[in-house]
Amino acid sequence: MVLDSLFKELELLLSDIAFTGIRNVQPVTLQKLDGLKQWMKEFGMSEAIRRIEALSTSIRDYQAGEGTIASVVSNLCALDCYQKTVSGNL
Amino acid sequence: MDRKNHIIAADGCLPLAKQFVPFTDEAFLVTLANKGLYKRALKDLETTVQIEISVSGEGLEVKLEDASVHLLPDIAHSHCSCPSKTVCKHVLMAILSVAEYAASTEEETPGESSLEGNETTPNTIPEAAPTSLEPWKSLKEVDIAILRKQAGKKLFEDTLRLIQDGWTAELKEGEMLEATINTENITVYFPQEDSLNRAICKCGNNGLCRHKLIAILSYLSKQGKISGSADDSSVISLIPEETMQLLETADTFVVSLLERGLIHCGENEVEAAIRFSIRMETCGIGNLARLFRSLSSDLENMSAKHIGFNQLTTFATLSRLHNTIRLVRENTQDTEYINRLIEGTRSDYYTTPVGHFTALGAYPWQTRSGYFGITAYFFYHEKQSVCTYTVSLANYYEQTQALMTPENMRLQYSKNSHWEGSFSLQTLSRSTFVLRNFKMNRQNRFSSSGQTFCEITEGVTSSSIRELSDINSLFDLSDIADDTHYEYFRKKQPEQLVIVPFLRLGWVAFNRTEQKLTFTMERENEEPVAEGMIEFNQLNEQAVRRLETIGKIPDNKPRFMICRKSTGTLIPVAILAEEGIYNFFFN
Repeated sequence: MVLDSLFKELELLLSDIAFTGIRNVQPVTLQKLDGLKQWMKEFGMSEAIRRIEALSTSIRDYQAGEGTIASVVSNLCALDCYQKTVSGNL
Repeated sequence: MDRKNHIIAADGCLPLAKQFVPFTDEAFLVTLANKGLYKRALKDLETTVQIEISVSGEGLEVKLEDASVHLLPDIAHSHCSCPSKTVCKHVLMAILSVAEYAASTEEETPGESSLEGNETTPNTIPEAAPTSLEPWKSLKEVDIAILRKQAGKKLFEDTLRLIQDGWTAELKEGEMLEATINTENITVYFPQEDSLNRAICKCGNNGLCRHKLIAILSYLSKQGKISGSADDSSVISLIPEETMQLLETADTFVVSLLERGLIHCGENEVEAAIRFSIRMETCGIGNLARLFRSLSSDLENMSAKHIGFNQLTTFATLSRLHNTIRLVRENTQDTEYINRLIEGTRSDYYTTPVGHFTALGAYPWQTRSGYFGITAYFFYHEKQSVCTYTVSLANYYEQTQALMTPENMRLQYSKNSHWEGSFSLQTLSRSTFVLRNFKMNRQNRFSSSGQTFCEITEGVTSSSIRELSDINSLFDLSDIADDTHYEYFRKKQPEQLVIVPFLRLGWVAFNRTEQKLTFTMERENEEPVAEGMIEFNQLNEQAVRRLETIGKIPDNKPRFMICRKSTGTLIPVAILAEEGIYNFFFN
């Protein structure tokens, strides 16, 4: 049940990013992502940790003008796919 | 000058004449012309006093008593001086006499044939012999893109699907490659040299006909070039260049939406999404077309501040669009993978030559989105799967709203308006039959094409169902409750049917709160086999009453209940008893 809530929280956060736009992601959103990552660590969900880290890093790189938008979108959508697959099979 | 019995050949004819030896096969000549002409040619050759053969360009000039034939290695393009516009008996006589000359000359001078004709060509003769080349080289190295262009996209993809469905030609390699398409009783012949251009089809078409395409793709399938492996660059891809460009543009659009944010989308994005939907539909990618249509509606709802807008759903649509497009673009050469990612459009029907079917009943339905109709189920023996045939109407039009009544459903059920207008759903849903030239889509739905020819064999009885007892999926009740496994890229599955043997219905109860009838199907000693459920509505009212009656008066006759599988329960469609199928929704 806790996992279910955790993944629902992740789904909401990802859809918030899509709603406001990747170019408008605020530091607080990245902090929330880090918070979720810590929770995933508690449950030992290594794939979730890896994907959240990849998304956070690519957003930071994009905001610093070092990464591409394509890479951020791929990480965002891949994390969504992962979240849906796990939630669908809980 | 060389004289063999009644054949006089000029110098240099032998190397060219040898090319015609494989063409003397009776079956080939009958395919090239017909049986009557072939017999006539044989008879006339017996009485021909003199035949003269000379070299003429790339071919041979064969002078018969009443005509002169210009024989070419591309045999279909040989022509005769007689008025016939197609292959005549003279062409057949010319082939037979030239081959006879080549064979008899070789027999007389074994090992010396290379010295025939002029002395400067001793080395050219073995090179001219077709066997010295790799047989059917042009067939093995055929350029799929050119083949697709020549055949046309529709024909090519329809044929490719037929091959992938197992409708391959029977191939026999000999002097020529014989590809027999059993379903159409047609043979295509491919000579060893320049096989594609010189192929001969019984249908008489000199260009790339459907039969030649089936034969070529069957050959490639046998060679393992249509199986689908990412490492093999020669694998046929279902993604042409223009579709790749569309996918790239569509992905750029999705990426730009996610970059700017949904909140910044307006009418332009709504229009762009619907345009992508239409273009995807045109390219035959149904699932992406539906996703873009859904995205367009979502953006429109968002702009209008409509309650129907859901941020989570819209993001899920965008994410699915990007993930699908990215994977398709990264795996264009892997046919199997692409087939798992892409769903054809629902209107994408392809023709199949013949199929045998056993009916499994019919039932009426209505949807919340405003449609109603009747669906009949059939077991397709060749594909070992269940197919559907649906008649539907939209009830949101004023003139059709009044038609959604049980009376009209019964009328539609008994109306003779299907497949040449000779059959009703009542007949079809209770019979075994053969369909010829029928059209079906990827979701196993039949089209009502007027070109479909239906032949009813007999009514379905319990014994017909016993013949299906080897099909485990039709009798498997184990996975009714286990429908919880989620797959991100799972396509919409065709409805699953299950046949439940039972003696009586037990625990028949109508829940007034939920407006549902529940029951169990039981064997001897009231042993429950499975549970069923039917929702009460205007169209199901009669079926609910029938099942209640059957439950109240148990007659203990062995029967089968044909049901649709649903999560955790079964929804009845029809009952199959000894006397046939009982479509209790209509009778």
